[in-house]
Amino acid sequence: MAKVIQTMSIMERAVQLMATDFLRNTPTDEVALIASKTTEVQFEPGEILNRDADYADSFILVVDGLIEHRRENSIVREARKGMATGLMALMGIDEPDDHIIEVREPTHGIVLSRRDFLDAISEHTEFAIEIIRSLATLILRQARRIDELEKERRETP
Amino acid sequence: MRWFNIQKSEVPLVVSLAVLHFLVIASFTLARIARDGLFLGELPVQMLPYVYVMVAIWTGFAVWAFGRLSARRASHITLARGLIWTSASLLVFSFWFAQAPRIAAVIFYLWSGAYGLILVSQFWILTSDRVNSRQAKRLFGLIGAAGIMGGLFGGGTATMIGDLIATHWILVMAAALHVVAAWVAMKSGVRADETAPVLKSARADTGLGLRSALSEPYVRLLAMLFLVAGITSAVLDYEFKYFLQQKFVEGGAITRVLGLFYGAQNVVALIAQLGLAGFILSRVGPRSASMLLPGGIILGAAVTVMAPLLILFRVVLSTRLYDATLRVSLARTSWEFLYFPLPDQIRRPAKRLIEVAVSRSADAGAGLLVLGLNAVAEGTIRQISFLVLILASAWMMLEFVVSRAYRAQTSRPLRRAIALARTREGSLPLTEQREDWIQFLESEDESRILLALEALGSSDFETVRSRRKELLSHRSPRVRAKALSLLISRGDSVDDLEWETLVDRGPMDGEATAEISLAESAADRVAVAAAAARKYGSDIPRSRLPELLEDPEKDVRVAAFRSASILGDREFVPTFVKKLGSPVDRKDARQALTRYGNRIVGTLGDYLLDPEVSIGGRIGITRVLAVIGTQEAALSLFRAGHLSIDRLIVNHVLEALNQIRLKDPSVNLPMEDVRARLDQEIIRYLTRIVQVRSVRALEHECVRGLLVRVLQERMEQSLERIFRRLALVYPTEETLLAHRGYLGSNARLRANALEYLDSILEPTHRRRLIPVLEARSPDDQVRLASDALDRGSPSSYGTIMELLESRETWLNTVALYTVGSLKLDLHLDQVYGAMRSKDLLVRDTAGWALRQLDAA
Repeated sequence: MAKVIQTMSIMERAVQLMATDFLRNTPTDEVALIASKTTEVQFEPGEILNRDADYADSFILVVDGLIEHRRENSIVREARKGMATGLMALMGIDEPDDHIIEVREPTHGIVLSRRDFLDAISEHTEFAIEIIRSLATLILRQARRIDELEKERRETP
Repeated sequence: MRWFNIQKSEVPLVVSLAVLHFLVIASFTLARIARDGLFLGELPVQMLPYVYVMVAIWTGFAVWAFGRLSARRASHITLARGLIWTSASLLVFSFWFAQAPRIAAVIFYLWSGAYGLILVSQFWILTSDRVNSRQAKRLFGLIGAAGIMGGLFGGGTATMIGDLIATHWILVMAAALHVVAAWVAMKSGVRADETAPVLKSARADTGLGLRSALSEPYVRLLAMLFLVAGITSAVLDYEFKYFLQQKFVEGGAITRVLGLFYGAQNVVALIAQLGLAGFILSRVGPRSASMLLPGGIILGAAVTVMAPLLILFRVVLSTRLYDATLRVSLARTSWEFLYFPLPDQIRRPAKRLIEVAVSRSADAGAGLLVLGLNAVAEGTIRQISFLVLILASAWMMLEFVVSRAYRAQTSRPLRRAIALARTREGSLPLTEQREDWIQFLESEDESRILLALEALGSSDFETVRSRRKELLSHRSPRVRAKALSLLISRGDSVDDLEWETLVDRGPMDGEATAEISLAESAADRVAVAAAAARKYGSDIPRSRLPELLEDPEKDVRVAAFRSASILGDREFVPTFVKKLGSPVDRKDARQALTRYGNRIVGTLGDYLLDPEVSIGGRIGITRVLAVIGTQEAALSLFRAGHLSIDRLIVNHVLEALNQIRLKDPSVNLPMEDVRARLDQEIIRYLTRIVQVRSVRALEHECVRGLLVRVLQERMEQSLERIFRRLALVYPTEETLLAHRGYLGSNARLRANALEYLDSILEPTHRRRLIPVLEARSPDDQVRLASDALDRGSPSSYGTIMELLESRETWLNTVALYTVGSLKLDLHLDQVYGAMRSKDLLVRDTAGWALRQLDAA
């Protein structure tokens, strides 16, 4: 079972969060404010995060460990040290039913709940703008990837 | 190239433009010498005044025709074609002179009178296409000097070979130089978008362009300036030659003096251009540099009017030499800047018109003035000097007027570019959306109607108002509540509303409205809230306002906000300030507070300074004060604009102050304090630049990355505040536009922004800021910032110490984190001190740092 722990200072959490793509361009003092709203959690292998009422709508930054995204028994993504999961959940977008987010190794994570995230967005416009920018960049990156894949498909005899 | 202040990447462009200028001026000088020689050899000098008049008329036509022929062509193509065509014409004239010299002499005088100036003008058009106004300050000195050398070369060559070959053969030499120049023009910094035969983006550079140019007040002002400057110079030249004729009877003596004069003029001009132009332009700016010429002439003319006869000739000679020297060097370069703020389609025809037609008209104007003076007086040296004094004074006044117009004009490219960007952003077609929303109003689905009401309430309120009756009698209480709330919020009189349709129980008066309990529907509670604002009737609705302000339904709260603010009761102000921190209510709370107006700006100023009020609440207050926009509101905001306040609050305070000043420039702020804070902000910005460099030396990658990111961020934020504070001292809108231009990716726009700032800033601000803003590299920027601060670069540990002692808690936190990460026990006292901080983050990080130090 997931367990709330406290091993890091707010600043240590902030430094970890600053390194994520999601918050790379957010003013650092605002990241620190967000860090102060986060909790540290130790997850155990086998926990299905998107079916856990406490963490289904949370953003989780992996400090150490491994979280796996699976769909129809195939791994679609692995979140390791320094990577994050749950961005869509944070935005209130539910994953499809067959999408599983499972803890594979003992994982130390920094967790930001949707409620705290929404509070931060409503209180800090600069943070909100940067989140929109990050999402736009993400969409752009995905769109480019789709273009590349389509191009590859057309070129493949 | 460091000596000439040229960057490595600029060298090929500068060399090609300098060579091109050399060739154009050299060939033009050769042609001019041949022209004078051939004309004076074939025709009497008395014909010259008639030829001058013909030249003035002909050049007007030539400018128009050249504009049509060069329409929508890139400037290098226009110049190259012009050079090739005139090269061919020179060969034809060379042949013609051998056949019919008298006719050819007159026609060639006309031809060269126009084409020479057009080609020189076209060269400068090309040059200003290739470099921006900031580069021009550094590069025009060298490029201009190459032109002077071209003149020296042309003159020297003509003198050397004049006795060896027939004069018309000089034209063949000039034609050959044109061909080489055309080749250089085609190689000189051509951009990819200029390779098309016709520029799609450019508007026709034809007669229409000429008309558009003349319709610009700024261009008309420039034409006036150059006309007066040209007339002054021509009258001064006449005075000089008149004196020569008076003083030296023998023709040979006159020639000797003239030879010495022209020799000295070229040498002094070259020295001035190479040694002084770049320096003066960079230090005092082109507008001040431009005033040196009329200033010197005024002085010379004034001395001539009063000087004893003995030294009179020396004074006249010196004044004329000063004019002739500066006119082809420093002044010529300074005048080029006047065209930079004009858009291409106006700049090109305006430049040709002014430099060709206006300068020729100036000669004619000077002739008429001298004739007039001779007719009404004796035309003595002192009288002519007095005329020069008057003309130069008028010129100087025009220089001041032009300087002011130039400042306004430099902000126009920024305005145009930003307006264009806004147009490109576009918006969704509102009419299509409107139809959809109106259809939603017909829906059976309550949520759709509510959505449509929300949208139409802000975009098309008349539609809501026209359906008032049916909406207020809608079966859904929530729809009724929303409609009522909207109508009330737009100021529809509560008494005029159809109360009987609101509730099912029948007609209501004030008392009945008040008696509705909170258990009733939202529509009923909206009615109660609205009734509270009525000036007559029961007091019960008013007494229920505090609870209605906290009602779970937003529409009820909105109606209650409105009524409370209409009543103007100050007891509700704290509630509204608290609501400013709530994302759901902040907009309506802002509107409510704004309705109080000037009466509460002092109270709001106090809340703004109160750290107990949430950040969201304080930001909301800045917006309210910005909308109230009075002198008192501005002063309340200003109280919170000092550097020790939270950066988010300061940013919003400055934004609000800028908004107020945009709406009403007459709002006064304590300028001494504004300037003091601006100076502090500049120092802070420069300090951050130096600090960023110092922390790059740290070996610990994570800490270094964090410190660099934090300090760079602070540097950028500080720069934004500098611009916002500048906008309180200097023209607000233009300064904010300059900020956008400076931050943008368009190099030309950025140069315009800097040029604008350069033209408006006071010397103290200009000296500190402009060099750092246009530094060529980060190293250069650090060096300039250190110079401006008058301090050396601190060590990385020195910077950590500075951050620990900073007034910004975030910087304290980052420094504490650094101390802990690097285990810097030298800073133990500061860490212990931070343990007592009121700020949770500082305390938490200090505790963590202590644990790290203990562990070490």
